[in-house]
Amino acid sequence: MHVFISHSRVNSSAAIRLCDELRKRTVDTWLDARDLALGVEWDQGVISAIQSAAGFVFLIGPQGPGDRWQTFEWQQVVDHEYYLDPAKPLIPVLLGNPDVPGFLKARHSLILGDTPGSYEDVAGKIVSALENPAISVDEKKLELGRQARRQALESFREYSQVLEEEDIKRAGIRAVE
Amino acid sequence: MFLNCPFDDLFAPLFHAAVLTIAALGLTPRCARETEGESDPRIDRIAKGLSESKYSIHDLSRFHGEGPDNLSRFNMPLELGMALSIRYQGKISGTPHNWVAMVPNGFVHQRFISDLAGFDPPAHEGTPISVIKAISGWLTIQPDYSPPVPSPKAILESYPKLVEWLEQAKTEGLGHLTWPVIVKGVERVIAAMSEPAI
Repeated sequence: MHVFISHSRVNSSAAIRLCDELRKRTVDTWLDARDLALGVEWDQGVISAIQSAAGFVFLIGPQGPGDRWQTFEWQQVVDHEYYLDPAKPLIPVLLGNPDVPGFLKARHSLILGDTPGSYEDVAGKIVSALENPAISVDEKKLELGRQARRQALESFREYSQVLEEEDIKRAGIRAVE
Repeated sequence: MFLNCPFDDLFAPLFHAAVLTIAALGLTPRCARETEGESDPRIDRIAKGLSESKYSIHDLSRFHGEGPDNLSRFNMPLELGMALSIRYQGKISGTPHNWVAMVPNGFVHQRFISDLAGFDPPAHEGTPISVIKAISGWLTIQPDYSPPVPSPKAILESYPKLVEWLEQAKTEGLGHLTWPVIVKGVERVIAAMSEPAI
C-alpha cells in the first residue's frame, strides 16, 4: 500500500523532494513522475494508483487550483468518496497561501517552506497522520462547516417560504382578475 | 446556484435530481422557472438570475436536432455564454461567478463544443445518479466550499422520497409542478436527511 502524492506540474521539484523525505522514513509513495509504469496511459495509471492508495498527500500552491491534471486527481478522490472516510488520511500540504479545495477544508493543512528543515518537519507530520488518520481531521473547521450548513438549510427553508407566499399572492391576483 | 437545463418532462427526473443535489450541498437552487409568469422577457430574467448567483451549471447534453425540422436548441449554449461574460465582469467588479458545463458521457462534446477544450467538464449519462455525481463532484472541489456535506450516495438515497413527494404534488396540482412546489418538496426531503459525519 502506498501514499498517493497529488501535485501540480509546476510544483514537481517540491513533490520529488517531499517524496524523498517520506521514502527516508520508509513511506511507500506513488508519484506519477517516478512511478507511472512504461506504456500505461497517465489517467489510467493515476486512477489505479488512487484506488489502491492507503492515504493521500495533496501538494497545493502557491497559485492554488487551476492545473487540470491535479484537478483530475482531486476529482478521482472525490468520485470515490475517499474524502468522506475519516479513517483515510488526506493531508493538504501548502506552498505559500493557496486556495484549498473544499473537500480538504476539514483536514489539517501542513505548511511547506523552502528549507530542508521544513521538508523534514512536514514529512514527520505526514508520517504521524498516516499512523493515526484521525489527527488529519480538523474538528474545529468541521464544526464551523456544520454551523454553516445549518445556516444554509435555514436560508433555503426561508427561500421556499417566500416562494410559496408569492405563489399564493399570484394565485389570488389571478382569481380576482 | 443557477441551473440552466431543459425543463421538459423527459428531463424532469434529472432536473429534480439536480435541484436536490444543489440544495443538499448547502446552496440555493435558482433557475428561469422561478420567475415564470412574469412579464419581463425570459432572457432578461435569466440574466438577472445568473448575475445574482455565485455559481451556474449548464447542461449541454441535448445537442441533437429535434422534431421534423431536425433543429437543435441553442438556449443552453447561449446562457453558458452569458455566464462566461458574468464571470469575467465579476473578476473586475469583485463579484465572483463560476460556471460549469455538464456534457454527455464520452468525448462527443469535443465535436459539438470544441471551445470547451481544456475544461474537462463533468459528464453524465442521462440518469439521476450520474447528474448527482457530476454536480456533487464539481462543487466539492470548489475552494469556498466547506464540509460536512452529504455524499452523492446519501443524496441518491433521498431522491426516491422527492420523486414520491413530487408525484403526489403533481396529482394535486392537476398535472403541473410549479417551481415553489418543487423547492418545497426538496426542502422537506433535505430536512429529513441525517447530518453528514465529515
